[in-house]
Amino acid sequence: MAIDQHVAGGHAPPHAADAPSTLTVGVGNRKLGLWIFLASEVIFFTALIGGGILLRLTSTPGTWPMPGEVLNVPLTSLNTFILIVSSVTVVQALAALQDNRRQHFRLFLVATFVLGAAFLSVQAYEYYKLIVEEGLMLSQFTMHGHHGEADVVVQSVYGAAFYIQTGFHGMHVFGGVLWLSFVMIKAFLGGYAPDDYEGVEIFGLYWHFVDLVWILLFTIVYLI
Amino acid sequence: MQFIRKNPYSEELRQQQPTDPQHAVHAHKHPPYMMVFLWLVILTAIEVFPIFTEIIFGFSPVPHNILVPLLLTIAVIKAALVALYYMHLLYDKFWLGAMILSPLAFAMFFGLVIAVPY
Repeated sequence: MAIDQHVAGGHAPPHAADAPSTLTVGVGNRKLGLWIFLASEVIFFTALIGGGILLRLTSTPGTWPMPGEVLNVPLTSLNTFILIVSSVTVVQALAALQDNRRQHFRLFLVATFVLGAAFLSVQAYEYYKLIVEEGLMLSQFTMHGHHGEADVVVQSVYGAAFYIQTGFHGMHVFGGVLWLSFVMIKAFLGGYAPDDYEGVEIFGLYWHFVDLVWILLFTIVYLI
Repeated sequence: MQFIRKNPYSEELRQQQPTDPQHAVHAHKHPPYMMVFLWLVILTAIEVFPIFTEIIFGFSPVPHNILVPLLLTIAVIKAALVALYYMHLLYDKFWLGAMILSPLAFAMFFGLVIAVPY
């Protein structure tokens, strides 16, 4: 409505169609919409993580492996590092766009895409190893015997909790990579400008949120 | 931080609103992105240190029951760093942060309900 009045009054701002849609709350429509979506995501992941904690607290003693017993923590530490670096590349892309450094802007977007794809690849490899070599299934896992003892198959919902929490997070990363591919296409076709960065900003907000969830998941699922 | 108590649709207020408040803040100065990155890496290294010593040397420098609250605290600090600096909540509208945290208040409540033995 504000923009309509601007146009009617003959004061159309440059890039009127693409300008951040500022309304009376002081936050653009798309940005506000994304924050509301993220609030719903907080509910979603809180339920998943809360459910995981509840399953762990109510599990039969000995049916929930200690950190590092089944999961490959060094490999996942690498993945955590990858995701943190990808968050930096997103904010650097936004900063480059705001400073009108177009080449850096596109470069940082590509870097983020590569890092996101790398995270998913490592996670796919991790799942493959866990299923084939560790025997981590939804309702059981294999506890390897130490000092020549036989392996023991333990009945547990540990696998279900693990795959659901990390799997839903992985799907969010996949969704983020898909979204990023559209942002990249628009960027390489000459889209976005120092005064038209809301599209990059809201993608960044989503990406950082997914990183934030991973920071919590990594600690809760892998380290404690 | 900005609270609007007047009629939000008034022409007067719309005139006062900068068309692009974000840009005004960031014009040529950006938040300390690389410093935050450094802290995220340092905190992650501290987090994984005990489990790495356990894998490599077979012992953990910190007992597990002390490690749990310690690791959770570090994770919350890292998450807060990402939200405040990378998601710009430190520079953005206060109520955006309040909106995103409000579901957690309910989670705490339900957690307490579950924790009470009955």
